Amino acid sequence: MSENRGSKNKYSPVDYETNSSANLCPGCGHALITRALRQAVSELNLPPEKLNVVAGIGCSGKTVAEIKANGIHTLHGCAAPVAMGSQVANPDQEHILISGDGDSWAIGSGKMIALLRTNLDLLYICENNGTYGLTRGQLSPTTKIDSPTRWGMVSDIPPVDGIGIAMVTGATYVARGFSARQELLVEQIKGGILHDGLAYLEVFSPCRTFNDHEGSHHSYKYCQRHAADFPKISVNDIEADYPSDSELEHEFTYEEDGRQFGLEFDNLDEMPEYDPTDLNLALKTWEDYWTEQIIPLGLLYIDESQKAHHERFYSEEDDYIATLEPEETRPSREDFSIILDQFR
Amino acid sequence: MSSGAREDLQIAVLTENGDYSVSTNDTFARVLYDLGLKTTTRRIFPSNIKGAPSRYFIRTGQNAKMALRSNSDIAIILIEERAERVLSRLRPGGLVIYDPDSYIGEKIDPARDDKDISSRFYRDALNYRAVPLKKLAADNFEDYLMKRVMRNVIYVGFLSSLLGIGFTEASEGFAENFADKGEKIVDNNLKALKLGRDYAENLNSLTDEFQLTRSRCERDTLFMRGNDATALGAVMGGCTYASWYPITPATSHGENLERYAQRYPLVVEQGENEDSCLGRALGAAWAGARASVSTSGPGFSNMAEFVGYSSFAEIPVVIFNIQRCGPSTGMPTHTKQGDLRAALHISHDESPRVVLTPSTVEQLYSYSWQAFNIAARYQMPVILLSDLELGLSHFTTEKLDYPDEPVDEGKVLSPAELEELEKYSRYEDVDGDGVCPRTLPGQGPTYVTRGAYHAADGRLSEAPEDAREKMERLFKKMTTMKENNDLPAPEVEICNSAGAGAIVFGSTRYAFEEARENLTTEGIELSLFDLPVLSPFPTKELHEFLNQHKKIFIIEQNYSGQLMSLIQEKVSHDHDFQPLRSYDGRYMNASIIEERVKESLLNERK
Ligand SMILES: Cc1ncc(C[n+]2csc(CCOP(=O)(O)OP(=O)(O)O)c2C)c(N)n1
Ligand code: SF4
Ligand SMILES: [Mg+2]
Repeated sequence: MSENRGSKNKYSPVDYETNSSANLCPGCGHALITRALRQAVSELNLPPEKLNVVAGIGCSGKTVAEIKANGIHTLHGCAAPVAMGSQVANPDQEHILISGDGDSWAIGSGKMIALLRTNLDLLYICENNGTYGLTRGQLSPTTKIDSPTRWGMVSDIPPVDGIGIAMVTGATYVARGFSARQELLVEQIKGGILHDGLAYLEVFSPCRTFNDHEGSHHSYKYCQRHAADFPKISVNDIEADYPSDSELEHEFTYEEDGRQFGLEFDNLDEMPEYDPTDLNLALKTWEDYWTEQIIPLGLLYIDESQKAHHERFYSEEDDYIATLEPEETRPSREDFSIILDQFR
Repeated sequence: MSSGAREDLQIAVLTENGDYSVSTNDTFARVLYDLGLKTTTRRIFPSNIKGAPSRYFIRTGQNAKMALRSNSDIAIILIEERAERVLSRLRPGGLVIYDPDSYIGEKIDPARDDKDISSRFYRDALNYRAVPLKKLAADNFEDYLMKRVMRNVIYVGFLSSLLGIGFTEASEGFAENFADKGEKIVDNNLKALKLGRDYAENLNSLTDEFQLTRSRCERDTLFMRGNDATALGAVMGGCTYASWYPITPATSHGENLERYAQRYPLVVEQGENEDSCLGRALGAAWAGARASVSTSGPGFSNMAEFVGYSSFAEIPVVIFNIQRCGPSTGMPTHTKQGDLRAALHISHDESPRVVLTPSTVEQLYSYSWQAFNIAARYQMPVILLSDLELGLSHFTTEKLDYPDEPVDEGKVLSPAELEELEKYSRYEDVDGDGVCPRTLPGQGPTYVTRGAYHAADGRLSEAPEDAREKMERLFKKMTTMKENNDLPAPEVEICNSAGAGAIVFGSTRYAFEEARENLTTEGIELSLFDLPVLSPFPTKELHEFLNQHKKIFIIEQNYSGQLMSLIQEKVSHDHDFQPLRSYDGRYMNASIIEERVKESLLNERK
């Protein structure tokens, strides 16, 4: 895509840097995701104040320190409910959740299901390194069979398939990324933010220190070797990127802050049998790859027709609860008297 | 038989759980209240859906008190199991209403030649009255369900007559209550009421000694359950977000809020478990909502980690804990006050929180709305401890007042205010009261809210001076709120001549009030200290109270004396403390208190 894209943008990735550090190890996959995230939000021209980043506990969640945004660092496995409360209270804010594989699929697994089924309008980034980085490399629920930890532990319990669960549970944007494929990741993040509903983006994000060794199924090398292409997307600012070509058909269009964005599939012609809007097909294809231990990268599934969770609580004219003036939150004296009537 | 002018009457209904009698009994209680009678209800019911004995009590009358009495005047016995116990708790001269076509009827029907005086169901001191409830229902209603349900309405019809309540009075209440269920249901209810009443009126020997006295005075009262009062309090406190997970006895608080959410700017969500509920509430509060959760024991335990998070990350939230009998699953449908220590200490390490202990319907309501302001002002969790007895029982109560304090969001800086500041740090205690101004996401500078130690600007820090400062400042808030008089004050009633006083909190207050009145007539005076808050502890006020009394009864419903040990810790070890405890899941009543007080005072004289 165009090199000078985003020239209209007020923000550049540097504007999302902070003066604090998450102190990740050199080469950590999570740091690359943070980098892609900064790039993505700058391309969407999202002011840092408009971003609410909700993080779980782990090396993954720690990265909240390195993104200029309203951050909330929650509890282990508990970012989902905090994000749910916050998003429903003020859907005007853009919500991004950052979690690890243990945070999401071990301690947070019940909460994940509850979140996925709501179609909450947020981007969920699961930074999957197949291990517990922060507690020094134990088995995680996504550790593959026959993939020894750095300490030689091997699991013969089948791993959790987050992507599969997300698809059957109700996520309406399901993508698989890889920390080392920055360009793809940036587009996936942009698409996930613009998507009106729950976007689950699972990123293969190697733990340089504890799970990047020979024999690991979560190393950079392993992913490079086993990666397969899936539908690639690009997300473009329609006016800035196609000044003369407004006729161009976009698969989906979105409005963000008065600007129009379009989402397209780049390589669908190379995979004519695939349709990312067909859930059954997406699931079937995914499961085939899963069994064969192939790592498809791309956008697996998208559905823009479902209502977002907060729409359940608000009608057109309602103000969001977080934006009410204090005095607007209490029933009037007349209402109080009407309420009491039922008890009189 | 003497013609009655009853001013305080208690009815016990013994039935099988899930036989649809609860809504009938609720409605009857409401009818009695509507007649101007002070009325209260209690249920003693098992933790299941159908079957097993269940008791419903209605205490009513011009002079009825709001606690359950230890004995009743009338019993409706619909099942055999537990009948003996209910009968043993009837006053001499009490009336037993039973169905002749039941097992128990066969045993005690005085009209039968083979009646069994030696039966365990037969007591000389009681009067028995057979009413063929089942048969009347079977003969007059079509379908199976109606035959079962209307049996209950028939006994209400019979009771109405017994208590001297006009048919129109009773039927109006029922018609109104079941109006939304459709005409057919209303008609059936009225028909059943009439069947019961007609049956009573056709008996020429029906006693009139249970007729209730009624005065026609104007009144300004309400009839509500504790869970109605806390839910209303939440709404009036400006609650805009609530999350809950079903659990006895907290469910009706959440369901009430669901109803309010249809009219007021309030989002209510049923979470997937309790810690998630609290997580959602904290997320909403962080974003700028006024948030709360409601639960009971097991769910409260489930929330542990988030309670400390709320305190440490300084996000306001209100936690309603309607206590039930624990530990573990415990006795879910039985009352206890065993969560004091849990409320004070729940979550690892130490973190300040406010713990409120309302004890009357008025307090449940007013502490509930105040809780939202306190949480917002001090940016911490406020735990409100109610209990099953308060939560599920109906009470006749003085009218409630519109909050006399505006909704206060505490120190929240608006974008305009922020602009005037040279520099803003989230955790900088600008005015030294321990509370740092916060900003809402989207309304100010960006920073990270976190449960990890941090410096004043919110950035991670494990420096010892930052750690010390944080802890000291957090706990400073507890002193500030006392200095600012931001907490409900204890209700204290001193009897000058009293050498003894009692400390109560929660539901036992009603039983204590009654005991206190009775004891006064016997020449024993007791002062009252109704403890409104456990944290921060009202040490000064309690110290004063202790100084004025030699002997102090500490009334609480738990085994280990959680309140007593707290008083010893906070106020004094050297006092004549008289523990008055119950922990069997049953409601406290005045007799228990009177007995124990008398026993203790007599011992002293010996
Ligand atoms: C309740 C609780 N249990 C355990 C921990 C310790 N802990 C911190 S991070 C972590 C695992 C993190 O693994 P993952 O979510 O995969 O994140 P990563 O560090 O690999 O990015 C654990 C077990 C904790 N913080 N809280
Ligand atoms: S331990 Fe692993 S996951 Fe954690 S920072 Fe180091 S490389 Fe990254
Ligand atoms: Mg991990």
